[in-house]
Amino acid sequence: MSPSIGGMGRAEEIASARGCGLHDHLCWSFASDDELAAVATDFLADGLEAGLRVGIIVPGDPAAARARLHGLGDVEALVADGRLIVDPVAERYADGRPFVPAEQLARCEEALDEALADGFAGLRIVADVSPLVVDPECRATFARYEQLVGRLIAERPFSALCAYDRRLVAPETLRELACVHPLTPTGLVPFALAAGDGDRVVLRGELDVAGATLFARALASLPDPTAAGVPIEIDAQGLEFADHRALLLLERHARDRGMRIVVRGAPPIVARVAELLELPSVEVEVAA
Amino acid sequence: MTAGPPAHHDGYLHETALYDSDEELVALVEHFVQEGLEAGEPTLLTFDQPTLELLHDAIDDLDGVLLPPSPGRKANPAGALTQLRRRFTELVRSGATGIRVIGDVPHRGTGAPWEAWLRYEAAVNGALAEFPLWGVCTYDRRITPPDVVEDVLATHPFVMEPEGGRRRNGRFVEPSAFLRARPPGPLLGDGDDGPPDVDRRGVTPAEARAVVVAAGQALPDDALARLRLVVSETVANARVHGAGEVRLRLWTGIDRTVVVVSDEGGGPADPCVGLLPATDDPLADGGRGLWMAHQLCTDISLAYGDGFSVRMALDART
Repeated sequence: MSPSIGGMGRAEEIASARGCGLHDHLCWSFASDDELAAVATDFLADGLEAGLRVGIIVPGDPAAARARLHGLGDVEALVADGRLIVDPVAERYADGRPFVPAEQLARCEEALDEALADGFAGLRIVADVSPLVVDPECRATFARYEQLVGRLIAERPFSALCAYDRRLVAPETLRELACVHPLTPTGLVPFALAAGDGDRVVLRGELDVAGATLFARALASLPDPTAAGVPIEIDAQGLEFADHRALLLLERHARDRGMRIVVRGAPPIVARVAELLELPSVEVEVAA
Repeated sequence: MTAGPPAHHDGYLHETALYDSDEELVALVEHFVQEGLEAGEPTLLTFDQPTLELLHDAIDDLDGVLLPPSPGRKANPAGALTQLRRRFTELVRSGATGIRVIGDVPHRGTGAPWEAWLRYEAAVNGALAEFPLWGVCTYDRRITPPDVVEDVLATHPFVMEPEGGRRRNGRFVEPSAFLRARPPGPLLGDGDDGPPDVDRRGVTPAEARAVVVAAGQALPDDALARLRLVVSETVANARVHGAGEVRLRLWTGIDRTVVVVSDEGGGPADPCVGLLPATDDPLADGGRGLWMAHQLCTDISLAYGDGFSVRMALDART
């Protein structure tokens, strides 16, 4: 059974973008327009069938993107009906202005509310935001935004595929952004740490010295607890391995933010290591 | 019968007492405890349960004596050392100017892994030096193998004489030198180990974990999980702190699986490393991998010379 975030959405490595659910949040990479079109068609076709408004947001000319989506059916009719949106990044994201996660999240939510008001079951988006993350300085901010989107996805009928162009985006950036998505292509990143609904976070995969920096960055991208004194709850049912460094990183994260972390469903050996380390701010519970 | 620490002795007096009968042990402990009560010094007994019962039956005032929080007889050396240091720190903080500890140390004759406890005996000379401590490590000569007795004499600066009094032990070897020079024993037990079942060079921690899981299918889940962790931690250490190629060799015995992780460097400067965490700061980066391994393995030893290796054994029944 794939570990879920508060009962909504999957968290695992995937081989395709087909069969996605109302609360799925995927990361994908591509190196050609056709590759993007293929994965977008897979993802959005299922969305149309489920009665969702679907959309694709691209950096370049939307007309060219529209032309490549013929796999979805009569694209012009879909657009005319409002069932399919094809928009440029410049229109949907802050163009030229500094990127502010909370503002962009509000725009997402507006679009979702519109879709629901227009009678759709929800919203599903493919977004190629590669130009926004080319600058390494933007990485951390964008990762924080991804976590906020992740929470929205877990809480409401919104699903998204974040597509990154390997021709533009450095491998390290891709990995850093991938590991904050519950669903990632097989073999891309060793773990995922993704915000779910409320104060829940899902953690799956393996945490060792090779991924330590990546894990530290992923922790830094997590949203703060919803209220003071509330612990972050990490669902670790999909955690396959964690070394002592990873637990120390959790402790540091909790301590720096003056909060507690509760890890649930961890393998017994992880609980044992946590016990030996005597972490003041982190509690590890074993799977029942 | 026994002489207290000489007035001018500073810090830790590490002494051993070898006994040949229950009566001898009782007399030894009784006098030690009595003197401690008279001097107002907290006294800890670290014997196993059966021996404690024997002592309780034979000695009246034993109830006034502090016992360490029960680690259980399966306590590992690293855990025991950490707990003792913590206890001593508390005692000093609450005003103790002298502390006494007496107890048996596990060894092969008691069914415990000797390499690990020997390292403990060598390491305490330094690790407990800061405390105003008189520690007597007792060994029952009836069940202590001769080679263990030799090792005991090499790791204790003082020996308690049967008729009382104490002699400075001429056979004491400086701990660091003793451990560095110690030849590694056989891995799987008494016999010849033979070639390893797996031999991989240039492994990453992830690859090492996969090797352990593939080879360790006969181990119970808990033992396998522990082996996987300690091997991953040790390979990580070798890659971060070691030099040259990191090599993993694995032997599967009937009840025991052994993994040796080696690198081509000179190893840690302090051969006692791993028995204590590298630092007291809970958030300091790394430095606890080897200490974890000491807590979680059935037996563990370090070997210097021709590179550096960590030798870890996990028994099926631990």
